[in-house]
Amino acid sequence: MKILVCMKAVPSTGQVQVDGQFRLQRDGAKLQWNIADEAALEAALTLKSAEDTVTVLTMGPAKLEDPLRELLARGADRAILVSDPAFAGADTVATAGTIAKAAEFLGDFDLILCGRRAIDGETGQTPAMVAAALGIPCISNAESVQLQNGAVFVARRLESGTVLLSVPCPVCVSMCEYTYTLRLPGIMGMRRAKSKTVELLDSAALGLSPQSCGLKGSLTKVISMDSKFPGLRNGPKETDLNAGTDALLAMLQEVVK
Amino acid sequence: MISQNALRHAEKCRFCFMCRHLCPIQLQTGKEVNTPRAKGLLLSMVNKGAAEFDKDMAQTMYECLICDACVNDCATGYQPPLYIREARTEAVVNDLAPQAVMQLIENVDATGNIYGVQKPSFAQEGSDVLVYIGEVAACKVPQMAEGLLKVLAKAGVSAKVLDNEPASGVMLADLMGYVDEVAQQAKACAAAINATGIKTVVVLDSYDAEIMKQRYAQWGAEINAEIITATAYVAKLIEDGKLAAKAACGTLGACHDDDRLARTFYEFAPIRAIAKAAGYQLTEMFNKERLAKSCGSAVALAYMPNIVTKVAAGRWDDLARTEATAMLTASPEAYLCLSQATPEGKQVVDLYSALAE
Amino acid sequence: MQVKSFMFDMIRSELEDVVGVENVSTSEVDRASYTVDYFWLSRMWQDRGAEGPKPDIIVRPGSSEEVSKVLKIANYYKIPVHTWGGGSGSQGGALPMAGGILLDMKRMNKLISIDLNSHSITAEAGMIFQQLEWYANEKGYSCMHIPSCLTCGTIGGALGHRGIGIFSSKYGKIDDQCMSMEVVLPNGDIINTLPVPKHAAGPDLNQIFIGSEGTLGIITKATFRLFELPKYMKHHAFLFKSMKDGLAAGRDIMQKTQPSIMRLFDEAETISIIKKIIGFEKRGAFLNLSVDGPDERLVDIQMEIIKEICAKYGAEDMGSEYGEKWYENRITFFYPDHIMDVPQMFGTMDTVADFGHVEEIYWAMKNAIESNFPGVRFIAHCSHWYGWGTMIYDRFIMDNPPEDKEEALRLHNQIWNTGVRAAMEHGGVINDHHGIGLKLSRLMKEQYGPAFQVMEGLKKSLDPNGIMNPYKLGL
Repeated sequence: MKILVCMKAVPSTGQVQVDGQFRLQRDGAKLQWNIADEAALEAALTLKSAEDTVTVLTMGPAKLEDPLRELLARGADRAILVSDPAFAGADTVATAGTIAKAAEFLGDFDLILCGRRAIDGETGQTPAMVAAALGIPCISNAESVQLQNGAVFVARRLESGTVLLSVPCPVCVSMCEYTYTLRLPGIMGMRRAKSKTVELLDSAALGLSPQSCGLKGSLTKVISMDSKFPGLRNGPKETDLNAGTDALLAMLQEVVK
Repeated sequence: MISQNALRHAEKCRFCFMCRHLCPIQLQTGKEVNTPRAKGLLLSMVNKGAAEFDKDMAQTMYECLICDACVNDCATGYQPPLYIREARTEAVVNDLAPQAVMQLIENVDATGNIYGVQKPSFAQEGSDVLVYIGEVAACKVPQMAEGLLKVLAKAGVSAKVLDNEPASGVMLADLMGYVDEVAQQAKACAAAINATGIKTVVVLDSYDAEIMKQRYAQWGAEINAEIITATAYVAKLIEDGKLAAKAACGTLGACHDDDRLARTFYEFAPIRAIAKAAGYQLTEMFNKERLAKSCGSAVALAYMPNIVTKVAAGRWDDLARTEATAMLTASPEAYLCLSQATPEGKQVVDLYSALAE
Repeated sequence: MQVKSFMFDMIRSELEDVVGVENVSTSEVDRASYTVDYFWLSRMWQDRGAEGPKPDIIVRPGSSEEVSKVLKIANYYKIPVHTWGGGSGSQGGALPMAGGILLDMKRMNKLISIDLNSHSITAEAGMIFQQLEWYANEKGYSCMHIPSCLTCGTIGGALGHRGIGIFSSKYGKIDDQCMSMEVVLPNGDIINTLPVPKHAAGPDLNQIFIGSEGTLGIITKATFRLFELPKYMKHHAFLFKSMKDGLAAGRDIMQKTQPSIMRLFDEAETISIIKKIIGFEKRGAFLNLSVDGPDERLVDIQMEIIKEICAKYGAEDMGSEYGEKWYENRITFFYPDHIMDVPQMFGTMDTVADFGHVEEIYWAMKNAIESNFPGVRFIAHCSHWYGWGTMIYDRFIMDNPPEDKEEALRLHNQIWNTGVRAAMEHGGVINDHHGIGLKLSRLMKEQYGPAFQVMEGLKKSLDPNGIMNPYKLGL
């Protein structure tokens, strides 16, 4: 069985900055793997038997090569970095389209696992869009995933309870962040990972035109963004006499509004 | 290389000199590299491409007891052991760890413990509590394990001890950091404990208690029972009147607060209560409780006996400046290390055996 | 290359013969650990990924005799010798700028004796000062030398740069507290200064080696006065309308009473650091002080007089709370995230002057720095007082120094030159208690004028080969 796990690197919370076009600034920020995506990987590694392969895939800047290698150390068999300047600024549709292209390029996966949503954008749209682009079903908010006679058996969390579903492959499942804790990398895994390469895929390899990906391929555009706590991240300088009280006053007024 | 989080701690420590006076290895070797600052600085240099992580650097990262004296001192909360442990992982992965360390890891692979021997069994049946003996007591300080079991029997506690008691993982964690191999040991240990169904686990070695209480749950190795240090458990038996105090033995002693009781559990009163019940008159060393100087750990003693013996001698120096003739301990690790350097006219006392007699 | 390596190993084996194989190192790891001290430039250099000054060979002596033998070898081969204690100096004094040998003194950390009759304590100079203090505390005494770097620096380090502790206003500087020393001269001779510090047997040798920063010899043992641990200590805080009023009150307090701690902060520091650490919200010049003594009556009567003096200069009495808060947090200021760090550029100029000049110096330095260097802030407090004057702990801070490290170095030195020259021109002395080191070495001749030939004469006579800590102290 071939399992694909889609991972997203998100800025470590508390360090988020946006540029003039309201895009998250990922270049300078410290990144971490999205927690729900880690749960998806752990679910995949738990399912995996000796003959199965787990491929991790992420879309993002070149500096994600080392973090991907760490996922190899934790037990993934193959790591794919989908990276191209043309992919920058992609919304959920453009992202899902690119990931689906990569999934097709890499071959037939029986199971695609993702986190149910990322802690930076919080849209929760991408898993379903990837599934739609690939023409396979998508089950969201999964708490557990198991294999039974070639079908995938999923416990899906609803507001009112849990639904148990059995779905034939291929299928895309998006995982909740709280049921699987990603295992630690082991010494043997780290040694193995040292000799493995992270495979790179760019727009040319995927046959994507500039119009179909990145900012140009996106359907949504952020036109405004507002913070409820102005000035919080740029604290008062030590000798700025009034900055502290002024900032606090502004903050309180904002909250009272 | 090391994680972003560990690197953040290293970068904060690299220019800070505040805790060097507490490092027991620095005090004995006098080496600048044996300060938390230097270790942080070196890892920062590696990250910037200004230094190479070579065998010498790996060796340096093992010259640390992970006694947490530096962590305890930091007013801001930075933790040198965080990056030191990760650097050890790096060393093992890249075959740069000292030969003596690699030998211990091979011993764990072969026998489950660093000593490379079949772990002696203290198995017995019981229903009130499960006693976790640990490798150090089982292999090196068996009289302390026997002493504790006798004390419990005396108090009418029905204590079970596992046959083939699995390793807690704490020693492997000191040798190679918090890696999956350690988590696997933790899971096996938790499973064995849970299988007994007993709801109280009395842990003889505070190092084992630390990893069980602080790490197991986050690795998915929950223990479905209360974990309690043997010192706290026995002190409670004394308090509840289940163990009678012994007559004064006429010896003046000072209690050694081992690293984990001192700086993980902040547990100070129980060992003193046990010492009093064992008939000792008590005085205190100046550096006590949270500031108690480490006398070494069993795993460090196994891979750098010369340095740890000096560290133990440093603790005896503290005792020498008191009137006491006995160093009192309820930790198998401390007992083992202190025994390497017992000065003439002094004795290290295993409090469980003393109480059991 | 071949010849050099051959000779290098010949010398190395000679040094190993003296201190033991395990106490000599040429490993990259050991060498790298001595490239950075507390000096901003060395930190910035490391932060930018550049290689700092490395010694060629590290030697860790275990006794004065071993130090002596090492110096004889170094003198024969004319190899530079840098002495390193805790390495926590802010002036670059311990940095091995000339390569060669680095003597890490920390193995020499044994307590030698405590004399409860004479009230003195003697120890080897590689001991971290906190250890010495703990040994004294065990017996109910204190050295009353409690600098913020108490846990960082060694005895030799404190003596080498003429350090000071927070209780100095009553108990003096390290040079007042040290009674006697053993020093290894550059030629390897082991000498002792006279057993007591006051005598009429010529100039005081203690005062020649204290502050010599490893350029004239190596201090290997020292004896300090012991004080009974103060039984009573009371803290108080006042708020003055201006530094001028605070300085006048401080002068009167020093003349009429004996506080152990007294710190006067300018407005910029009152509303920034004091506010941040102890939560003091008002504006003005904040002054906190502590009075201690063996008898509560002695403490109380002094505090009464102090309150009267402060009232006379229009101070608002802030009670004991903020004084106590400052005392509780006195060390917190120096831990990471509480103190300035790279990428900021900063420095502590630490000028000392008599009361007649000190206020003028404060304004001269503030103006010189703020008008010449846009983007540089200036904050100051007076933390150590004497009967005749005080020191200004004046700091400059630049949040965004140049990215290029050479440019940052040059700007850093320009700021220092400007500030220190402004101080010296108005009657101030270059440094009160941080020392000269590498940082201020170039300005020593300007400070001393023709008087500097006395120091040069000492240097030539004691260290004719110039091997001892080159490029430091202007020597």
